[in-house]
Amino acid sequence: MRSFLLKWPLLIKNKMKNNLLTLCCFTTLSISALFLSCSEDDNVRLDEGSLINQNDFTDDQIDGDTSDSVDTTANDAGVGEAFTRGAMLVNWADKIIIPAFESLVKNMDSLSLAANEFTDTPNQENLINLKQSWLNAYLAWQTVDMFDIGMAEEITLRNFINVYPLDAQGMTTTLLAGNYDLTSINRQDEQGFSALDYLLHGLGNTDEEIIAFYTDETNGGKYKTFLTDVVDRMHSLTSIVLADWKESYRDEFIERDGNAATESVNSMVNDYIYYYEKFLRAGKVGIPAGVFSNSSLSNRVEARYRGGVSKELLIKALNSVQDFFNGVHFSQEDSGMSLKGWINYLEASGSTNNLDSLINNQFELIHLQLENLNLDLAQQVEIDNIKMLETYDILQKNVVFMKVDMLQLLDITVDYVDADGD
Amino acid sequence: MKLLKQIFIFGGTVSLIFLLSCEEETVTVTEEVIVTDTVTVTETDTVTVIDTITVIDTDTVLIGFAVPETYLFTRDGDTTVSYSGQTIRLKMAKEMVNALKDNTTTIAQLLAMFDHQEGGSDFSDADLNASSKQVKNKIGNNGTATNAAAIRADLETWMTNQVDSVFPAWTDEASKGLAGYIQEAGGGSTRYVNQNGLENNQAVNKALIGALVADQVLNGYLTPAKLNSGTNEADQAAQTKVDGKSYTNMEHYWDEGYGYIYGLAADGIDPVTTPGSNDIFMLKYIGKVDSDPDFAETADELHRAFREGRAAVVEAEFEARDAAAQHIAKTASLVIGVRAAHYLKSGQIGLAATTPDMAGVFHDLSEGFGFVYSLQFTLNPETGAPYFSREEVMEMLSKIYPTSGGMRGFWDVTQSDLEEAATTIATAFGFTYENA
Repeated sequence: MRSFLLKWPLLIKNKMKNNLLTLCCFTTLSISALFLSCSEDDNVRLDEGSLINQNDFTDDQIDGDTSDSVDTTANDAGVGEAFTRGAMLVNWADKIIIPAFESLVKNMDSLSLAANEFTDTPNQENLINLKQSWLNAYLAWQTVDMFDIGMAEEITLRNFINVYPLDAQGMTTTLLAGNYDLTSINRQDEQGFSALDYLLHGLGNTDEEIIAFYTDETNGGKYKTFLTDVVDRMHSLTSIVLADWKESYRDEFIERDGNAATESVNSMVNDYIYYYEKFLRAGKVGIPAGVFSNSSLSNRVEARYRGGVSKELLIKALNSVQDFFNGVHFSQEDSGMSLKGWINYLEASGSTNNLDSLINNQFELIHLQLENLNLDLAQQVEIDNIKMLETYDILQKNVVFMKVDMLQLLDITVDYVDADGD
Repeated sequence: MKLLKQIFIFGGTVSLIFLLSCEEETVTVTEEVIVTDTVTVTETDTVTVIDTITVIDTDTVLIGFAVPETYLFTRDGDTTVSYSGQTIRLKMAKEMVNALKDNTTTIAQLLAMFDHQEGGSDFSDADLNASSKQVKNKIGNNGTATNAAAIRADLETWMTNQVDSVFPAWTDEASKGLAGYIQEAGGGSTRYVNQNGLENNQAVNKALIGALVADQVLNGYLTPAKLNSGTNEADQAAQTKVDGKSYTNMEHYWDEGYGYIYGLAADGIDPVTTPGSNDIFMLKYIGKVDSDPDFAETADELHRAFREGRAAVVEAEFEARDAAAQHIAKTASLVIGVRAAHYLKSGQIGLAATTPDMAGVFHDLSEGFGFVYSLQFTLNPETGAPYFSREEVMEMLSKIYPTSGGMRGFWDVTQSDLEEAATTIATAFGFTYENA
């Protein structure tokens, strides 16, 4: 069954642009396989009145040529699109998560290469090239940060890749002392993207000053070694996660298609909302804006040493979150089974709540608000923090829509609590 | 006993009348009382009590005495509430606990904070230095002299271990058998632990919740023995005040008990609805327990019991007073039990991770260690004994913090030992491991 499903990934196309309902087009074979795999669970929610049933899947639909009888705007007819957890998991894994990790690892390949070139020949050209590779990889990271599940969760990937603020003083001490252990939790705030941010932008005011650290007779070697070690570790950890997805976890992920708290959908949705709440809303906006402290903390923004890219990183993260909600395939226009589709399916029976529109509209409001912000969120905090606080408030509304309203509708229990704080 | 323990889910009108009324002993409620549900609960069910009211029937509410909405009691226009001595002791204890996190503190400084003498320059706060109050002489003084000495020695042992072992290793990475620092995952807080993974400052902090606060309140001030001492009962009946004071002796004793819990609240008159507190002891954790839906209303229930008891004292209604004191004992003890089980469970969950965040686990378990220690100072009103004796507590600590036979405390504790201890605690208080 597993290999079978691998060979016949569900073909899911979206004929409609943007926020319209999507339509699943399965091959007869793959849909049969799917039903076999879920038939003992209660998650096959094909209502009797549904316009979709097994016999409706014809060769026409394989090509994505949907017949009129399967109306994607099913709400109008009072019937939702066929929804199965399994189909959503397949879309998530094959069209979003794995491609996103593939893209990240490709960017890590480039980063490694650029780092090697720079340490071999520390000059301005190589430094500029390395900085660009770092930014590309950092943007790619924003597309996977929410997938803290499977191997990523097991090895606590996020904690080794993107802890900020950096403990710059601790990192420098570690770097100069040598003989460090980057696998230690004690070193988590001394590595990852923020460490590279400092090593590439924060050591001096000009490229010359920065390069001087790497060409220094006494300590230059230590800086080169540490830079290489940090990049290698990021490269290797992200590669491990990608390999695990492709070699084994993908199948486990889609097989765990029940509705228990420990199964994939509930876990992923919790991870998703947790990420949005804690790392996007709070980490990228709330903490710098001082929402959780007595005063604003402009030095807590992402990529603070580079400056000027924190909004770009936030936008990338926000787009990724919104695309995941809508099931949009990684780096493509098409989309497949998603939280939005699920909401539509559940709301189909006469409800006019349109929770999915509410959530998507809120995402659009966030984008509108971001247009008002400085490219550098640290400067925004310094110049006009009110706009940052407003951004936080607008972000917070989608916490409520998703964590409260959506989870209630989907019958998913929140599996995390706020930390003690002491 | 006039209090009929019953629960009513009743309309807001009635509760308002209940709270505002009562200059006299019997109050007739003219509005119709709408009782939507009536549930009789036993004493052991008080965790789920929604409201408690003295009721004869649905038309006439007999309240033996007025119970104000806030902790505001006056006589001839003057407040009769005073607990400044408790506020001072809580501040002293807090400075002592904070000094355990400063690696320049000496053991002499810590011990001087513990047994402060009037005029000694032991604290940063001049008012504390000038005070004749002391923390140490309030530790263990409600039990046997043997236990008192042992408890004081426990606290001093942790403080000494902090100065002798942890402070010198402040910049070393902690490892099994070696003291030092260890950071929580994701660039989180840095914790300083001894050779067995224990944060001594947490042990002292949380042990004081029992050894100082719960013990003084439950086994000291609110006991009939203390409240009725001397000629207090007759004085109360005659409203005989202490010379030069607005309060009677019995009123003051009750308030001193109140002060150990609420003495650092931003507003001691209305600490439940007024946010903010500088407390790091019992009051802080009443708030934490209260925010757990499984134990909702805990903060309100406890404070209401204090108000009921205090109002009963004023009216010399001693049975009602003791009923309120028992309610307080039960609720305050529950707070310690819930937090003890909670932290052990948190540690167990932390250890279950593929990549355990050991600093986080140690922090939870160090807090749990102190709360477990505090269990010996709880009071079960049904038995008149603590929920766990000192011997039982020490036995439990040797399981969750094993140090014999080469074991290295929290580095070596097992998940099953933690779950077993937490379950034992939960069972004794009538909740479950899942609730913790």
